[in-house]
Amino acid sequence: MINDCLVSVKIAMKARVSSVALWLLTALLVIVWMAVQFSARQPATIALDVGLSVIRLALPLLVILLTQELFSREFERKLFLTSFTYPRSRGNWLLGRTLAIFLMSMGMLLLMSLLLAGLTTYAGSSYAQTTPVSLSTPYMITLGFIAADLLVAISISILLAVSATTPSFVLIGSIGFLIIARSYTPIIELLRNTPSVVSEFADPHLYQDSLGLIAFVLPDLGRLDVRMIALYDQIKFLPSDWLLLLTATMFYAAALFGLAIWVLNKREFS
Amino acid sequence: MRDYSPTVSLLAAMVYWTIVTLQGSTTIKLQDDSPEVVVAAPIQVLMYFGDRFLAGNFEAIRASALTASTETQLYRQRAHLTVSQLHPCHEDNYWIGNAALSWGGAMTQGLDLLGNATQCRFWDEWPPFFYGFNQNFFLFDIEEARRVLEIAAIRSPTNANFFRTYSAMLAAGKIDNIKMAADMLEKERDNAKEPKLKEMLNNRVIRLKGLLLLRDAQQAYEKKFGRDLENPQDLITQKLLDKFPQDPLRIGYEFRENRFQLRQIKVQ
Repeated sequence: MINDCLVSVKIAMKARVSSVALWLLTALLVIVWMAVQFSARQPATIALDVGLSVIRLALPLLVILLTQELFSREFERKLFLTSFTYPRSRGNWLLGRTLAIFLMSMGMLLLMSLLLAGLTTYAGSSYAQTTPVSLSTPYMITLGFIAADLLVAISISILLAVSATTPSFVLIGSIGFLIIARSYTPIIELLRNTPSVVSEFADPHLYQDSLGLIAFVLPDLGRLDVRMIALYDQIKFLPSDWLLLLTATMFYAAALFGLAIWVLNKREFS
Repeated sequence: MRDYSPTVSLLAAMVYWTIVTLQGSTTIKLQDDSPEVVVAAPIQVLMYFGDRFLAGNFEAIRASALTASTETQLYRQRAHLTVSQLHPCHEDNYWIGNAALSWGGAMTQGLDLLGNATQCRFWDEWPPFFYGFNQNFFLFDIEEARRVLEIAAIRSPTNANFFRTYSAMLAAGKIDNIKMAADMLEKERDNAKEPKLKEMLNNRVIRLKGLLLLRDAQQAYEKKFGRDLENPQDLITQKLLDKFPQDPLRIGYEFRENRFQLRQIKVQ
């Protein structure tokens, strides 16, 4: 398994993942800098806010690219004909490659978060804010929640990669899944606050119950975005059921991953 | 055979650019202050990959980027309120939004904005202070104003004295609110770096000073004749005013319940 993992990292490096990583870091730098220039918000707050948004957008993309490289291309080029002949189960092979994707994306999260911390400190150095940001524990907690969100992104893209026949389906499917999973809680909340969005005559509660059912199918990734604790240094913004939320997310990712192994074992390659 | 494709491509591009040049400028004239569309908050969440904070940041930048004329006033209302739903803690949105809406003829929306900010920014004393100030200034609701000012006082040990003194003066009816509001806006204007923001704030300062002028004239009239002013035109005929002040926002003033007030924009 460890060997598989190392091989996967080598494949990824050959596919120039490092240059993609460099591009993402540059994008973070440029976007945060522009946000500080254009927004009249307090500089450190806007830098941290937009930077976290960029991280949450960029990392799933990296995960999808890695999955396409390590799974879809393997099936496309029929490389599995050699890799599956080694004496080990398909499950182990999948686990090794997943571990590689996990480690690389976490490494990228670390790099981006360090860069963002630097940028935020620099942006805030010339202006004393009435509500300062926090780059200590609240920032770490926020990043931990982003990592949990990423875990779901990894498992859904791998499930799609082992079950689909075209690599582009992994991209479209994963992005669609993530958009819906991240959006539904904020949307339900906003509909509750602004019933005028729904028609004047409809009962605003009508939509809530049916939208609430969605949690049985999709994980609640919207609530994993706890950045307000770091933006305003107020730990009170952390959901009181954060432990349950994290556990549920982990189990959801585990369920998807188990499903991926099962699909791979059942899959008949021609 | 030689490969002519780059030459053909270049030639085609030259012809294309020639046509574009000949066509001249497009017929659509861009208006500086054309009203803009604001997408409803729940749809913005979807548009921004489920990221309400990013959506709020972009919408706030858009809201404060437009100039200060009356045409954009309705757009501003919608934009600031949408940001307030997406990210009620956004500090710039409630700050600029209060100046732009409350003093630009949309005090109800301004109060909504400040109410949301008061709820979300549970540590910040300024949203409840502005909320209380506006409750008293526009709605003459001293009780509600004092209740919210007490919230502000509890939140800030350093400013608690100021808030409580102000609250007590409100109860005693001993406060020159317009002067105070004009001073606050002037200070904000002088601190603003961006020219458009400065202009927006300056228009509101001029508008408030016009109101101050009207109220002073009314006071002078009542002192001179010993009776309430009933017809604003009397100020001109009695030579207490040369002419009525002009509101740069073109929303104007009104004489209601025996006093001059800032007119509010009517929204259909």
